[in-house]
Amino acid sequence: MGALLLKDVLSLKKSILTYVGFLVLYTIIGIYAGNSGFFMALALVVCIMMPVSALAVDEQCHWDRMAVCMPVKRGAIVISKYMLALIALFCALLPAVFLLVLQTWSTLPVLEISIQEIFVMGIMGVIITALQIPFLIWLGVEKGRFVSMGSVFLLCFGVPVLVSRSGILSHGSERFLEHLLDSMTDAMRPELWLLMLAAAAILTISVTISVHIYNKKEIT
Amino acid sequence: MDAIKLENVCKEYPAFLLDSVTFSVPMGSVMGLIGENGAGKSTTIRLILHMLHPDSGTIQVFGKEDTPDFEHIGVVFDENCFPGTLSAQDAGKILGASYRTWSESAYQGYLERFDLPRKKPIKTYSRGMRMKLSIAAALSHDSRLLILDEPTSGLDPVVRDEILDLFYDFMQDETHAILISSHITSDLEKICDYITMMHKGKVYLSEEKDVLLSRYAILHCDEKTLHTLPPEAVQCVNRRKFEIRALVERDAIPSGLPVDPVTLDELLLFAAKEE
Repeated sequence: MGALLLKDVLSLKKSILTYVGFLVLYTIIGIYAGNSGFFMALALVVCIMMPVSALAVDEQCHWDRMAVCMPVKRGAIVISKYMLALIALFCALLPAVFLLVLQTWSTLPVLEISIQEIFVMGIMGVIITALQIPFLIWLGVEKGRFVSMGSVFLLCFGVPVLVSRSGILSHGSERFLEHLLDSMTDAMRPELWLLMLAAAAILTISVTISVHIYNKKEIT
Repeated sequence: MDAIKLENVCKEYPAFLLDSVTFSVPMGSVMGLIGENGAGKSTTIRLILHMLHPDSGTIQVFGKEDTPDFEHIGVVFDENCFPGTLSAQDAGKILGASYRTWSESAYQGYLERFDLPRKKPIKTYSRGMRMKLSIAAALSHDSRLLILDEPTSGLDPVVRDEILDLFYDFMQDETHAILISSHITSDLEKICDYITMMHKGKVYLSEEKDVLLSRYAILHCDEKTLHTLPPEAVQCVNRRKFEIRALVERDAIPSGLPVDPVTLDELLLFAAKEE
């Protein structure tokens, strides 16, 4: 597993440096704009792009042929992509954590950000990772990225709209997502814990499906 | 013990059938796999490596049917599979973290021997350099079996000779074995103990190389002479405008008939143009 992660990190060196550049830029913009949405956007972009980039590199050089002939289990090859995405997500959230620490321990006028908000960002990232990787493994990067982008779009926009329009919730708010986030970021409410559990469950199911797909996959 | 043993292995695709492939690679030997493009060589190798799943039949590597122990198998494909942005040094780090038996000193020794730059991106390497890197990687852990899919294709004779030398060195240990597929039959004639020839998804011949080359011969004759031969002596016939060439069993034809020794290339051509 370590070797596979090392391979991804070394082969994506330039992309990672670009992401770090964005990370710094977005942190600065976020602070000046006083808008934590910048961090959210960055975390989502990193979650979408990192596994896509890693799998695109693999496809281009037929790395799979090499990987399945190394003393690693096929499952480890798949799980390494999840690990990469989650490590990237963690790194993308670091600036937010940094700002949180800064606002807690200093009197500097910085962006107001809460631990709950960071949790929500992380959960969204985990769900995006869980949604897109099975498609990328199943269909390959070329076709899979469109499906994964579609699922991300559905998650971020479609589901809230559907829920609010269909009147599933009694308050039927037009700004369902905003209300949901607001209610959860107020405090560590049960909804947040529930969402964390749901994300963990979705991730587990996603890993199981991806490993199953890859175990059945024929490497040509 | 056989390093590799295939029995009645079948794999069907919409436009191709690998049909009842059976052969074995004894420990301490080099098996050459030859055949025209699309004969099924690469499919067979991918089945042995569990990259593809057979429809039926059994495949044993080191006597076991389950996933082979890749700690002791070195694999070289017809192209280098490392990302082009990596360097040989990076590749060494990755492989070192993968194989328990990885020998960094052996790897560095091969890089030195092949004159491969350590820090240049692999994408800047020539085809020969990339192939040498793949071979260095395959030999730098405790490989007892080398599986090589067209490792010398597209390489100049000097590089091919260097690579064949390495395989000679590898085979000095009797517990080692090699399965090598190649179009370049002259390379196989140099290093192989056994030859398996595939044709249209089937094993056409599988035999000891020396036996194969001494058993068969090419007879240049006319139609009348051909009809005087016992049918079991004639394996294949290749009719040209002014000549008939027949692949015959030396011992089964009357002595005195003019025959030429056969080469693997000619065997391959006869198989491809079989009547």
